[in-house]
Amino acid sequence: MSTPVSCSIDLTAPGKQIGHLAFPKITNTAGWASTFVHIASIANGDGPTVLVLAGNHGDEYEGQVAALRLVQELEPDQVTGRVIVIPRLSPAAAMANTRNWPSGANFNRSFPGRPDGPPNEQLADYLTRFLFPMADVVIDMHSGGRTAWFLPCSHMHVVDDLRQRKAMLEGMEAWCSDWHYLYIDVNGSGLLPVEAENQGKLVITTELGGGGRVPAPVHRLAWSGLNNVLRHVGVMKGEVQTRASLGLPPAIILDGRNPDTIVVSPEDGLFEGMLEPGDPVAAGEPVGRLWFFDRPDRAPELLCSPVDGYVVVTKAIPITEQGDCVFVVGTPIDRSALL
Amino acid sequence: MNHPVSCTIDLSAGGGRQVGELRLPTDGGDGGFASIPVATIANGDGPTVLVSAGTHGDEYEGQIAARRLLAEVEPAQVSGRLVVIPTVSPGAAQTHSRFWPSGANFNRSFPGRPDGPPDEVLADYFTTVLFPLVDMIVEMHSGGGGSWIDPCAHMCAVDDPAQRQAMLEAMEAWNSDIHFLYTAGDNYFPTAAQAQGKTIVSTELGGAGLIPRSVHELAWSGLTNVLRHFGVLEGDVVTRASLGLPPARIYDARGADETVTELGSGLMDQTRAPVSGIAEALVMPGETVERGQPIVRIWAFDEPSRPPVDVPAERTGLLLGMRARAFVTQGEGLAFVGERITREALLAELAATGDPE
Repeated sequence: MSTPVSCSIDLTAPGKQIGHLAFPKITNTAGWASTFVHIASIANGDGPTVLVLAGNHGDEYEGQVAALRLVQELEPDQVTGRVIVIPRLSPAAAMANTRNWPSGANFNRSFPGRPDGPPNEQLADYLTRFLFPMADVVIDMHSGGRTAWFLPCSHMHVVDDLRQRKAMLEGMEAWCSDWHYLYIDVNGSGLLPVEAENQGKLVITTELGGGGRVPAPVHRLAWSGLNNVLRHVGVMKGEVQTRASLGLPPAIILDGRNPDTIVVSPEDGLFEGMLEPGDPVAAGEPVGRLWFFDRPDRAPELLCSPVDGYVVVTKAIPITEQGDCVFVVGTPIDRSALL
Repeated sequence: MNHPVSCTIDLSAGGGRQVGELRLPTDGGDGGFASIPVATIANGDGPTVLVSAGTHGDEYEGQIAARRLLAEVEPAQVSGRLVVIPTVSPGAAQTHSRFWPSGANFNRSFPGRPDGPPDEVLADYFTTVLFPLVDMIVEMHSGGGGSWIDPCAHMCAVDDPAQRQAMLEAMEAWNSDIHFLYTAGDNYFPTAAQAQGKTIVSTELGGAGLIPRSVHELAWSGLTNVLRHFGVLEGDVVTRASLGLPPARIYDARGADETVTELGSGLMDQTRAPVSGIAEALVMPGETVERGQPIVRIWAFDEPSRPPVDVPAERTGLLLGMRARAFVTQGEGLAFVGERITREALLAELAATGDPE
């Protein structure tokens, strides 16, 4: 089956190449137009193939900056195998500072995709049928975007295959973040990581903060984690670091597999966070409160944690609609229990 | 002449707590109006203080503190009158936008006109009805969705020495770690209030989407302390000295030629983006920088093979604020730096220029 997506560089060739994927752009201002999604390949000798992806959601810039820096700084002599980088999967969304494509499509709900579907599904299909099969490792960097303030961390799905689960756990830990998070899909199917996981790949994903600004320490975590993971999987030369070798205490793994830990707003209002991501919380303790937009005489409503644990996410934009996620709590889990 | 804006409560009379709304006629010509909640908490003699927030819709820090004020302050704690408008621009706040849905920037709508578009009608109501009723004003801003400012109270350096001193002391009563001086244009909210001799305290309470708990705490502690400083709220005024804190540092971010640009960026126009791309913050607001030091790195957006462009600080001083949204376009305001100034120097400026006062 063919694809409408073309690639301007030879992904099987050695050396450093920077080019683009192109696929039909539907626009009123140009005929025969293409959307470009940049792609780079840095390859040298035998070794694993690692796909580094960012900008799956447009307003998640942390990974895009780290991936752009990787394209600039990584040279073939540092590589054993092949690193393929797509710094922004959703360029128009990134330019518009939005999560979704201007069409309204959520690229992370577009998988496995179809070659004859709308543009987001065409691109998803190209990843599914051409890029994932050539990769051993898929790194997809997310953050909370402008709407959510996420504990900066690497995270994972708890896949059923135990060998894959162990490899993904070790890959996640190689980011050396203070926290890790086990997540579930609560908002539809068609995720990029799920498609890669179904193909048996070692998938490493992140939530690098978010909330509309990127502090310099988060940029540093994006960069150090990405580099260390590339060393961990053996595609980049250099010593692999661990939290122990860095003199840091073990990371805390937070389990988010209980759907009740994802708390949504009971009403419209203005959300005030009373706790922050990383704060410990007891069951019944308020994590935030809701102020009422057009009823300033109404007392605020406390929004309380359903479980003991740590705050993982708070809503970043205070204006809140009924049903919006206002916070997420995770419960600590030992890595041995996970295996 | 009746003003086109009506108010469902009597803002100048009546003790206790009243909650109502301002009704701003909308453009439709159908007799409809926009509702802007307003409340008073009044008790006995004392000053009248206007507390306003949400002039820019996406600046929620002050909107939450103003709501908390209405929820927690009882009339018995008040000497005088609080007039609270927790969200001045509801249509903008509900859409997470700095500007009104019409595109109007309410902080550029002053002094307003009774026969202008709705934003100017509301500005005129503030200028001709609200400001004359009040002695002091607390107007809370932040960086909003687009920018990130070191949380603080700030002020315009007005020309009247007594007013400047009163505004300086009120600004300091916020007890933030820093303060800064800025230049407002003729069409700004504070300018219209200052022209009537009012003491106005304004803030920049962080910004950029997420609101840390420490900022909510600063909004609340600063607001209540300023109200105690004004004598309208009971309780002891605290100072940084009484809190065991070092003196606040004041930074001068006034425009070099005492003018402001017409760009929406406002404060951020000191440093402009030389190219479009994805901006990476190299330093953060609240850090000191040297003139020429790279503060932002812009990664090429449409051509990843091009190396990034570093943008230097225009001045030596404190990085007060920076653009938070990562995608920047060429010419967009990126950051601003203030130079240290002492309170004595700020007060002495007017004497030095031979002001008769």
